[in-house]
Amino acid sequence: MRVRYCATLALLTLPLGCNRYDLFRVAGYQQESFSNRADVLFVIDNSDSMVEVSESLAVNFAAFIDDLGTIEDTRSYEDLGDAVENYVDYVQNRTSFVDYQFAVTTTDVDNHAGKLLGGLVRRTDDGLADRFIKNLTCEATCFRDDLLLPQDPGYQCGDPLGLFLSEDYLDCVCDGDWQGHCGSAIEEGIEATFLAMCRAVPNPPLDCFEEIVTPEATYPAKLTPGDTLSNEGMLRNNSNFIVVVVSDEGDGSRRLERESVPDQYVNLFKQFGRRMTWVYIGPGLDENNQVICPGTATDWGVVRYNYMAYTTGGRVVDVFDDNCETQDFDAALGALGELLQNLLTSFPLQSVPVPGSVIVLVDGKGVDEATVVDQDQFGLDVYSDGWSYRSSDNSIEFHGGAIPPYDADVEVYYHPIDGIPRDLPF
Amino acid sequence: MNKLLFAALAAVIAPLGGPAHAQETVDIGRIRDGDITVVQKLLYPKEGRTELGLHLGVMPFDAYLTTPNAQLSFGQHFSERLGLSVVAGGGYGLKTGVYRQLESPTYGVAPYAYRYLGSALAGLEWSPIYAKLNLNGARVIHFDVYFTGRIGASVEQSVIPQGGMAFGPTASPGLGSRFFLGSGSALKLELRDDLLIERRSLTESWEFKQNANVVLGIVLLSGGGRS
Repeated sequence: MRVRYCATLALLTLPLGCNRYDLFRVAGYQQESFSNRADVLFVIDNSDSMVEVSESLAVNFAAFIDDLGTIEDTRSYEDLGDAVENYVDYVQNRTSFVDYQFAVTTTDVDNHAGKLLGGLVRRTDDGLADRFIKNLTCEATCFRDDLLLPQDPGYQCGDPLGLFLSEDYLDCVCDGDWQGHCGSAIEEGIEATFLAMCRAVPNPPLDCFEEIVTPEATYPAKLTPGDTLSNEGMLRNNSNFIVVVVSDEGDGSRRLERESVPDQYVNLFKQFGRRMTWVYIGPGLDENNQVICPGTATDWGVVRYNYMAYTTGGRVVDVFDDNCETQDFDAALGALGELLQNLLTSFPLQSVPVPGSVIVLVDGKGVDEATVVDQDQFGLDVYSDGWSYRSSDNSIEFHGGAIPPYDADVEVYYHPIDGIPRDLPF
Repeated sequence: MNKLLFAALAAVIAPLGGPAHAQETVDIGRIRDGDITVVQKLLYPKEGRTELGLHLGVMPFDAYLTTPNAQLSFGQHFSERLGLSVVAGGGYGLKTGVYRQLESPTYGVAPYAYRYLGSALAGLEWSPIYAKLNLNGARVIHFDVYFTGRIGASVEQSVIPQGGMAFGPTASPGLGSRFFLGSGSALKLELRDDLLIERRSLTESWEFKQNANVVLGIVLLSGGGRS
């Protein structure tokens, strides 16, 4: 009898607290915790067919800057009322808190090779829009010598740009030096962006200084180590780099074969370790990847820019309207404004998750896993609203309406495939 | 009982008295071992009585979760030693300091633990021991000790949000005691160990789990019972 009691007691007490639990990784992010810096590089096609496009960009740019909102430096922080007002603005008009800067180069690699024209224009600069328009029109736009621009005798130097570019305006802004500046007939926007980045970092990748050998030709290197930091300040630490290509042509970058997607450049850009987003303001494509409006643009060249925009979560805006006329840049700049809000769409994970073990929460609420609903013209998956796991960089990517808003807390729980290292406090 | 007490007192007092007188001698007989038991008669018998109880408990032995809970019990005593026992309850597992430390940014780890939400169990209760205890020389406490075995089901929920629910078949051995407060009520203390198997959805695995529960409550017993 006594033995039976002891055995029962042992059975009851020995196994207490022996529960086994798998350990999950938990990664927490905050949508507002990333940098609010946006470095915007306009890569302008300066071939002679671009005058109308550049003019439209210039004319709309001042309004675009106004739409971005109040400059943070002008805000008042005197009392609680100011704080509340600022917070409301912060939530409703985030772009007014984005620390952006603009730079301009051209698609002409032979002459400019990614060199910035006219220097950086920062948000806090006086006459921000005017300075940008000056860089655009005086340095990066091709005005043929025989081109006749309208006259505006009533224009006074110092007045803002009106509804059109006039010789009088350009004479004032550019000190008479605005004619010419016509670039190569081969537009290489992607190569120009690569070279601009090479010039902007203290330790450029070796590819920046090597000659380019292709089956068709060998191109000598456009840069030497002496060009390092010749675009200093263009890429700030922890900034989001937005490339805006404005062209009525496709890309003809020299490293690529004619009808190919620019994977090679994607790998080159990765060496910089920057978050990049591409905006292409150029000829639109139809569902068969053919240029809609007749012109000199090649289908495959336009597809290259589309590829960069699609793969980086960017925007593609048709430079032409339904009548194949240069359209108002209001919509194009509006798309850029959306990108300046800098919403992060992907969040990296520390370890590779076991499939099916991922839980994603935004502000404590579960987000459904997205499903593939289609494929785009590049064969890339198109997702429904939700999140998906991206194995290429081991991250969780949000799609559509599931992209976390500002101030949102993002939590990702997952069971790591390689377990948890035993450096825990027990 | 009085006879035994008298005999004992007499044995103690006798040497202190004066000279013995043969004619005053009283024959109290011989006390045998078989005549001495702890409890000569059960003061609070259970046989034929029904028991209802309300209990508060805690599951303190899990490293990641502490679970306060409440239980309702029903018992039917077939005999003094054997009875039916039904228990149903609910609770909520709270993260311990260890869990919170693990899930902090320092470690970034979340145990895929499941918290107790509720259970319903039924089984038998075997009470082989009835005893009384003299407390501090003043009060005599009557109590019993019982072993119980119950089976049923438990409901649990992942501590990781959206991590799933689990319904597990449960076997629950236990050990407890009733401290009788009177003929119709008792304080009931029980240690039970809910052993369950549950399916965890995120890891797609079957896992064994136990919820060791320390429970204290009041039970009401039907009928007079006092003999």
